[in-house]
Amino acid sequence: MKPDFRKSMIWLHTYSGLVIGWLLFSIFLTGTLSYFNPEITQWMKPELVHVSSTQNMVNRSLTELHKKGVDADTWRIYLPSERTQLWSIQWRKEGKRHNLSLGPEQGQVLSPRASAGGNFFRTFHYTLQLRGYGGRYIAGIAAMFMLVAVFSGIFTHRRFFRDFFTLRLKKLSKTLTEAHAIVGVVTIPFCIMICTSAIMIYVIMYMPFSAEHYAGGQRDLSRALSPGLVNLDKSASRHIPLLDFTVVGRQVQSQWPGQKQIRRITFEQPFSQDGRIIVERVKDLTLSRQSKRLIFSSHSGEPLAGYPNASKATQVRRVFFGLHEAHFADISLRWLLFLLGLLSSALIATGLIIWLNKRLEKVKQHHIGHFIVERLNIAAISGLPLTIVTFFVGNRVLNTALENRASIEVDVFLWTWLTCLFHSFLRPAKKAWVEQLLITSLGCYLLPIIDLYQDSQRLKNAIFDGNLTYLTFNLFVLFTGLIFMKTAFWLRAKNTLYKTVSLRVNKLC
Amino acid sequence: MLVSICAQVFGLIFLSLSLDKHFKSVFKTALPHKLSVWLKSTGWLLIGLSLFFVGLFAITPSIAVVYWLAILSGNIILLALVYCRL
Repeated sequence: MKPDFRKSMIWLHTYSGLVIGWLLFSIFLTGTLSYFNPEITQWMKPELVHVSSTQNMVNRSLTELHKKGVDADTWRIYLPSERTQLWSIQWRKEGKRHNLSLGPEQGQVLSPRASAGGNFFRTFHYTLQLRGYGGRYIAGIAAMFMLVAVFSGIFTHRRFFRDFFTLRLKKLSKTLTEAHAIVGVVTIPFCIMICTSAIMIYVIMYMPFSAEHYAGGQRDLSRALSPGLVNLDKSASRHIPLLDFTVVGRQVQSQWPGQKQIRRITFEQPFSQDGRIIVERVKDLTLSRQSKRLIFSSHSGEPLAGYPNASKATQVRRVFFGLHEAHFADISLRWLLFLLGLLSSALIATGLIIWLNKRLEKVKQHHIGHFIVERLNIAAISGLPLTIVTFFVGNRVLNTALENRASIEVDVFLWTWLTCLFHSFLRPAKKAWVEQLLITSLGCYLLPIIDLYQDSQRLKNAIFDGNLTYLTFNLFVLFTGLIFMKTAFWLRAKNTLYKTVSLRVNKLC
Repeated sequence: MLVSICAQVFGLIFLSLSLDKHFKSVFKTALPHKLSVWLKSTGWLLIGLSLFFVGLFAITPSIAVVYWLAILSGNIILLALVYCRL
């Protein structure tokens, strides 16, 4: 038989999507949430107060560091931005890191609750909580599979341009297929960008043999491609670091005109004669992940030689990294990217449902494979949003004095997801879908109520201070609750259109 | 910004109407060939112009391209949703 190119592409698209679809859905959804990483963290740590970056902040941070970080190896000052609202200092002494969040009033120190914050989603989407156990390799393989699915998907489309804007809402299976096709076409640039950049971020790690061959190891290759500053001599004579940042501030201002240009200030070996200050610019002016940096002496404030030029390969990688993280995006572009992320998750979800529906329509005798796919679909597509909502509820409900609170929040997330998996296996499929969707929606409605019940001042402050992050988060949660509830009721009302696997229990055993 | 979004929306509307199926669903008549060519060229021109307008307000040209692609994707979905209601 003559091999048919389109048929092989359809096969490749179907199975590259199916094998790893649930994992891809989880990675895409949590990754999409990480677009609002600082904002989610802000909501999860309501003790943080509104602070806006001023010149005096650096000097106040330095005063605190002089008091607390004597003889430290590194000092760091994180200046707040509109997105983070987090002004913190960090010092590292004998390999141990200490953090302190500062408030706007003189001498005010904030102690926000210990929380995994929005950063949990960011870490989860590329390590799958398996850092050190191959999590990042699995995420890389998933990205590769997605790229294969995207490219083979282009070839499976019969009328790529003729059906470009076509979406009919009459029959569920047709709507799903058309929605899958149109969302697929729309998100092609986004998915290619996200998957390629995901692979590029860890390209050295994913190609260990070439790193070994060309530079003798992964770290050496990194160092050769992007050389850092010279190593500092710890035993150099002692010198007290700057107490007044104005000298440096003026030079920075002349190089980077405008307000709020500094993101982070690092003092390396502040108490050494050779100590230096690295001033990093805010990231929203460039596609690259690495913003501009200026170097000064830590005691005289005189400018020092900057970073050596990075190789072209590193610069390309940094642009991919920057595109993936989108620090350059202002609020409107961020929402657009967030929407594209949600659409890509929907693309994967519809693909998984279509796979099952198509087979159930054709086959009379249902197979255990169908049963497993159906249950995994439920646990991933409706279970993950439920898990995410529970994670947020956990943040509000768990006692703030708990030890290891941040990791307990993560445990709540993982255990809830496991419960969703069990639930999907134990209940009839349609009921499992509807119940999980309804609980998610209930969680979404409960979340602002719990928040209001715990401290009504938060909402009042947010309204009077114009804290859009807090208000938007709550409104978005309520909106999500509405969508989930509507979907649940709609699914419950559709009796004939959604097919479920009918498999006798004795067949399973 | 608003100008570029509008240019893109109209560009996409023209492009979609240059396809037989969508033209028929909106105007209930067949699409004349000359009109199809006109719609297609104006559509592409407007989409090109929208890139120019995004370039005017974005900080760098590279960020403008990201903006343009993101708006384009959003607009296509929006238009498909409008068409499915027709």
